Amino acid sequence: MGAIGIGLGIAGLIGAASQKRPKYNSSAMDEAYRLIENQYANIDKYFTEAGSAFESQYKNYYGQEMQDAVNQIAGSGIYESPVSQNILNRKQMALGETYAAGKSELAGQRMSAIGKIDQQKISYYQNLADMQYRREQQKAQSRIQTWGTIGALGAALI
Amino acid sequence: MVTNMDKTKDQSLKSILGIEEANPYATGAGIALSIVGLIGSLNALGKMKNYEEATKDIGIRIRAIGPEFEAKAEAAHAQLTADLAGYSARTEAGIKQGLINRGIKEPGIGEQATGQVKAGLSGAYAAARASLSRAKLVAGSAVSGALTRYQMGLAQKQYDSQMAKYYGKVGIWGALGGGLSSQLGGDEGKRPTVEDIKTNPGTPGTDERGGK
Repeated sequence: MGAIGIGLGIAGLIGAASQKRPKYNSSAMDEAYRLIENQYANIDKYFTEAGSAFESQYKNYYGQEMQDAVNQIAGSGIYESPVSQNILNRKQMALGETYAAGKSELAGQRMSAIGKIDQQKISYYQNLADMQYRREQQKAQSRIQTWGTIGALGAALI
Repeated sequence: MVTNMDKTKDQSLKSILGIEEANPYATGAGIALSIVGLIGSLNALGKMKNYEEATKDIGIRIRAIGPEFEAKAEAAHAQLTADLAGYSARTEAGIKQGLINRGIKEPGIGEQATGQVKAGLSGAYAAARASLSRAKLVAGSAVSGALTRYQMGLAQKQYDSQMAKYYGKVGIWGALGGGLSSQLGGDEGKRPTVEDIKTNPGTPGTDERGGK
C-alpha cells in the first residue's frame, strides 16, 4: 500500500513536470512583421516611382507652359526685351511654386505614410512584448507549481 | 480509544502511504521536502522576470522608432532642399540660355531676370519646406503619441508584474504557514466529528445536548 502511494506520488510529480507546455504559434506575428517591413519597402518604392513620374511630367509641363508663354508674347506683338523677359520671369516663378509645392506634398505624404506604419510597428512590438512576458510568466508559474507540489508532498508527510 | 488526532491521520497521506505510527523518518523526509519545495518555489519566483526585464529587447526596438522617424524626416528635408536647389540652378541656367538664344546681351536684363526669379522661388521654397515641416509634425506627433501610450502601458504592466511577484511570494509563505499549522496544530480548532460528540458530549463546538 505504502509503495503504491509513493510510486503514484513520484509518477504524478514526474508526469506534471514532463508535460510539454503548448507553444504560442508565432507564425501570425512573424507574418505581421513581414507585412510591416514590406510596407516600408513599398512606400520607398512607391514614392521613388512617384518622384520620377513627377519630375518627368513636370519637365513636359514646364516646357509646354514656357513655350505657350513665348508664343503668347510673340502673338501679342511684344518685342521689347525687358517686358517679355518680365512676363517669362513671372511664368517661371509660378512654375517654380508649382514644382516646390508638388515636391513638398510628395515628401509630406511619404512622412505621413511612414508615421502610420511606425505606429503599426509600435503596436506590433507591444503585442510581441506582451506575448513574450506571458511566456516568461507561464514558464515561471510552471516551475513554481512543480516546486509547490514537492513542498505540499512534504507538508503532507509531516 | 479513538481520538480526534487518529481520525485526522486516517485521512492523511501518512495513512495512505501505510505509515500508521508516528514515524520520525517520514516526518524528517516531509520537513526536508517542504524546505526543498519552499526554497525551489521562492527561487523560481525570484527568477521570474518582471515586465520590463522580460521585454527589454523589444523595448529597445520600440524606443528606436522615434529617432528613426526623426532621421527619415531629416532626410526628407535634406532631399527637398537638394531638389529645390537643383531646380533653382536649372532655372537660372535656363534663363541665361534663353536670353542668349534671343540675342539679349544687356547684362542688366539677365541679372534682373535671374534675381527676380530667385526671389520668387525662395518664397515658394520656404512655403514648401514649411508644408513638409507641418506634415512631419502631424506624422511625428502621431508616432510620439503611440510611443507615449507604450510608455504609460509599460509603467502599468511593470507594476502589475511586480504585484504578481509579490502575491506569488505571499502565496508561497501563506501556503507554508497554512500547511504547517494544519499539520502541526493538533486538535485545536478542528471541526468535531459525530463520534466525538457521541463519546464526549462536552467537545468544543457543540452545545450541551451534544448537537452541533
